Amino acid sequence: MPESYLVIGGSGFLGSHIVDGLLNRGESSVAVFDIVQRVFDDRITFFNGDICNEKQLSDAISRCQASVIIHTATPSPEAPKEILERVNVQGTQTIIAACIANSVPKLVFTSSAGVVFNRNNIVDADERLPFPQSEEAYNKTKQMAEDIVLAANGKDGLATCALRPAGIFGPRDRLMMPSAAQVVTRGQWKIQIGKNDNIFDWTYVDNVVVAHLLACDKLSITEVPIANEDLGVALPQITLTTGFRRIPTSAAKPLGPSPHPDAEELAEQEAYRDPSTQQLRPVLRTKFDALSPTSLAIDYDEGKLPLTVAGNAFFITGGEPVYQWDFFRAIWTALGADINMKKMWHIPKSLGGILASFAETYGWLTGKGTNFTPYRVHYLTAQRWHNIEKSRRVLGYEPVVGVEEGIKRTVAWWLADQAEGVVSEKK
Amino acid sequence: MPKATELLLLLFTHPNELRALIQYYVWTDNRDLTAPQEVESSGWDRESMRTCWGYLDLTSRSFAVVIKNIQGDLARIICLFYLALRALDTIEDDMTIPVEVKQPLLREFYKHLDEPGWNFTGNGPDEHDREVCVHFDVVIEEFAKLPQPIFDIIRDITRKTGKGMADFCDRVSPGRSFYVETIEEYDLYCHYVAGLVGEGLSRLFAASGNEQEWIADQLELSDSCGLFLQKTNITRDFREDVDQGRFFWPKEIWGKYGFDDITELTKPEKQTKALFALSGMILDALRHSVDSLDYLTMLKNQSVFNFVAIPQVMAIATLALCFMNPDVLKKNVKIRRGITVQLIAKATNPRDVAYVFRDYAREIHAKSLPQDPNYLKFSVACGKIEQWCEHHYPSFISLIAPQSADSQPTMSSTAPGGDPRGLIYQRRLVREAEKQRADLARRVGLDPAKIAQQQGDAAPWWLLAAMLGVTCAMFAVCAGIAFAVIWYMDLM
Repeated sequence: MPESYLVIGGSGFLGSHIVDGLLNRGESSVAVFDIVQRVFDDRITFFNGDICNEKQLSDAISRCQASVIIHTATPSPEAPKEILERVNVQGTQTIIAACIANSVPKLVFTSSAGVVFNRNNIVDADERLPFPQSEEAYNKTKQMAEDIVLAANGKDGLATCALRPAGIFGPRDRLMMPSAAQVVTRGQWKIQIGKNDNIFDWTYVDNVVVAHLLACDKLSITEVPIANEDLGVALPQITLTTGFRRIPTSAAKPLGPSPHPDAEELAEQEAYRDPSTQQLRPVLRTKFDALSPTSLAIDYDEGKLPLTVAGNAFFITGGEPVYQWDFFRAIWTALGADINMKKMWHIPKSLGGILASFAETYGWLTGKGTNFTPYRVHYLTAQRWHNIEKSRRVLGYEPVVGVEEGIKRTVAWWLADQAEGVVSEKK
Repeated sequence: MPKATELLLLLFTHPNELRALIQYYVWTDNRDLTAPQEVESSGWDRESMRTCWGYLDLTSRSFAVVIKNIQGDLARIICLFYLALRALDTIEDDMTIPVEVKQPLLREFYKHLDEPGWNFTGNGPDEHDREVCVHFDVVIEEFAKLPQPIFDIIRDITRKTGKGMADFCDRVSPGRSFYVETIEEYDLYCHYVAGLVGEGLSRLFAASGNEQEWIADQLELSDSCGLFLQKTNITRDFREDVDQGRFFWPKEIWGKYGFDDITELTKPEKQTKALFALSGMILDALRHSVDSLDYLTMLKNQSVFNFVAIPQVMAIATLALCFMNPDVLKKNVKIRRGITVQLIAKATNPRDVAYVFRDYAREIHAKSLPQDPNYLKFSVACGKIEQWCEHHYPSFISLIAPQSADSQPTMSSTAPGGDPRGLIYQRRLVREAEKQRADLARRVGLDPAKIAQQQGDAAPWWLLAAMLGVTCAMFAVCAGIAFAVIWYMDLM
């Protein structure tokens, strides 16, 4: 029997892309639960409701006979604390209760990589990292929600998992692109704070969609964990942006300018063109590696083995972290800025922090507010990238759109969207 | 040794490099092939092998020292392997030999390796290393003394290399396509002249018992290491090669920037575009950087490691030097000797090599321009090296011992800007200690749960009391002995 999907928060940025992903792969039963309807498509059943209202939720679940629930509803990170708590914590509790009451077998929760972010450097972070004390209400409430979801795994036949995407961007994103466009129109790209040696994860939205669909498919309470022996062969490098080229060897290589190829050479060429003959490489794990035998034996809580989808959290990124200012400069360049690196103002990180404090105080005193805050400075100068090996091995996740292609598509959407806006304003 | 005037200049321009140079010449302990205890493996007691060592010095500028420093028989084996390939290379490079003669010669070359007395005198008089070919019979004489499996590996690689070089001869003959067209072809050419050397070396490391056997089967990684070096050289030697009519840069890379002919890259008015073409070449070479680091972590033998690692760190340093450097289009560029010796000193373990790679990746990245069509690709490529370093050798684990007893190394994992990975290992240490205590309890027949509880509540008091008791007892004993001595003395 085909699954019946209910996307909670399906009108949001990520949620609407997940709905597209489900429809694109030919799912026949897709429903959306949200407070507003933004996607209008005949193939979707829309339920209007509040996620803190269990009756409305239960009603929707039973009417669409949901077998998989994807919970992507969350307010903007800049929303007030009360709203964040209400939606992220209470909302999630209500969803769990409704799932159990209606015997829904699967719940996929969109968490956030922010759960481990606390003004630290996030370097090669894997899922073993304990939650830090978080000052940002968004990150804190996401931590609580993730705990609630994973604790419900196995209760009354419900299987749950949490996905933690990092820095989602893409078409229909209303957070990053407006401020990037503002930088270009104001010519603010002439400043660089810090040394720009910090790499940062930005994840194109399609990759996050792929991870969600995989989680829907693999989630099950009777799942067999992947075997430790499978961890011995190295995964291929992610080459979406840099491009994949096979290394020629004496066992597999193209013919080249060989004038009279013999049978052996033809066989080598055939092997070269056949991806399945790609050489297996041993995986090189130190005892600090998240999936090393040492780590598997001691770093995970009892009964919380990391090699299943159910009951686990997964970092989801594009696997191609780039230097933070490069990412923005690539967007600004695509939006038409001609960035002259010789005329760049370099401000050290520490000075940037002090200036931002002044700006914040000034903004507070005058009541004008400011975008230039110490938190922003940290955001621009911190390392923030994650290890997605567990997602790749356990979830079977592979990113599908590289960061360069992602920027191209996002900017193309933005320019088209702006042009449309101008046209409609004129009318 | 560099000239005294150069050293004096260095004192004012780069004092650090001068220091490194002096330290290198004072402290470096190179293997002495002539020492009595080395003669058996170095073959220095034979006239023929002494000649071969002489040819190695003559033909290789950078490799001679590195090869000689490998331990045991392997140095001699690799020296002979190198000479065989050098002879092939000399024939391939010689533009005075007609292609009809050259091709069969290259293809059949391997057959002569066990043919006593064979040599080749057909090289042009100006060909750089023609001496090796003229006296190749000496090398053949030494091949006869190698164990059969070792010789077979060298012959096999020589056969494949000769075949590949002969294939590509067509490409450089006038009247046909003068360029390496595609990146795939470029990769293949580099495989023939350098990737195969990597394969051969891995097999020799394994066959000589210096490295694990499976390393011989890791063809892709071995090839990748070779490709990394070869591509670096091709990128660096651009001007020299173009001036001599050799065009190794594939059209697929430079053709994107509006050039119809590769010689246009040398025109000053097209410099900006030419520099982006150069960056395309460097980006292509960087593809192999992470493979090279992977390969290095598989090595166990220190002298083999140094032998492999030194050229690799030189390559990444060369790429950083060439990146966005207009001199590459005009003349030969070279890393300064002072930097070379600093790199040699660091190329002793995979961690340091990885961080050398990372530093040069950052140097490349710092010079990258948003106008370069490869701007973001460089960011991703350098990011891969950053990721490799932090994943395999996490920076929060410091190898440097605390300077003094009171400056404890502290992991500021929760402080702003700290690295929270420290928390995972702090937790691991606690769990390991708990586990050990439980195991100990089980072994002496106690209930681990109870012990843990007792440990939690009673142990510190109990321990404190015991310590106090022992201290008192020791005082008492000391006092007793003192009293006894005094008493005994008084009695005297």
